[in-house]
Amino acid sequence: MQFQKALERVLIEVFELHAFMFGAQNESPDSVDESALDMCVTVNFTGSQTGRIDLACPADLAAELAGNVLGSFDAVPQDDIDDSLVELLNVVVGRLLPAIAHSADNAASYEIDRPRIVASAPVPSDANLVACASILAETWPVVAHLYVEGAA
Amino acid sequence: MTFTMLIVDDSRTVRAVLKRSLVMAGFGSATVHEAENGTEALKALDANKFDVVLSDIHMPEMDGTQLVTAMRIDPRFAETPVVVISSDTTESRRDIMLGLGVKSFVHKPFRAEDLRDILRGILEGSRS
Repeated sequence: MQFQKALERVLIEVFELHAFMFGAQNESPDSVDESALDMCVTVNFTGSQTGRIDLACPADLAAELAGNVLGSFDAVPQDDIDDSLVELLNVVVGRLLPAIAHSADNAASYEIDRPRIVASAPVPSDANLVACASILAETWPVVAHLYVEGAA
Repeated sequence: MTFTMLIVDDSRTVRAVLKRSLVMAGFGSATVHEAENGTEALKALDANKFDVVLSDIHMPEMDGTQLVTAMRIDPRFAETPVVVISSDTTESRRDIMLGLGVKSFVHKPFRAEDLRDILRGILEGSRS
């Protein structure tokens, strides 16, 4: 539950603070059409805990996100859309790791890989899956999976 | 008064956001240079005099920790203020960077007014 709540909270915070998009918990996560989640980004981390976060969202959301972050009202090039989504997950993982570190572990340290765009979100069948967060950014669905070795 | 600043980040998005934030923070007249990593930053430092360097930590080729370390041992840049702007919010990372002498550590996402307050403190002190 600690992982689940932390992941949802951080996702909503980052969409609001970083992307200027209203975020809320998705009350109907089962209704998300996974085929619409056509942009996926993933990041690995090692250190006090080792794991991965996958985030998937519609391409339209990624384009809107990039426009908001860059302050552009024009169509944003795909490279910048990809970079904006990568940076969003970079901020998510940076805020999440201290939140899921073992309590009172102020010495927790991590090495965080650069997030990367992947063709499709890996199927969440990993035994290390500890949280699946489904939120809405404005009206678009966002689904994120958190994997932590030895914590499931 | 105009200032010269160097933004060091491998993400073009972050560099664009930072430049926009500098305008919002009242530094629209500043001359802003960009570098994608520590190696490029050192080249820029060789060629220009900067009032402040705004640097990420995690970057390919030469990261922010290596950049600040290299700056501190070079007398030409040893006193140039560095503000770290990173998504890495662990206390251990913050302690390492502050131990290297960086002036401030800003967590992403940040507000323009936070950046304004930090830069004013640094730049007004350096020009007084």
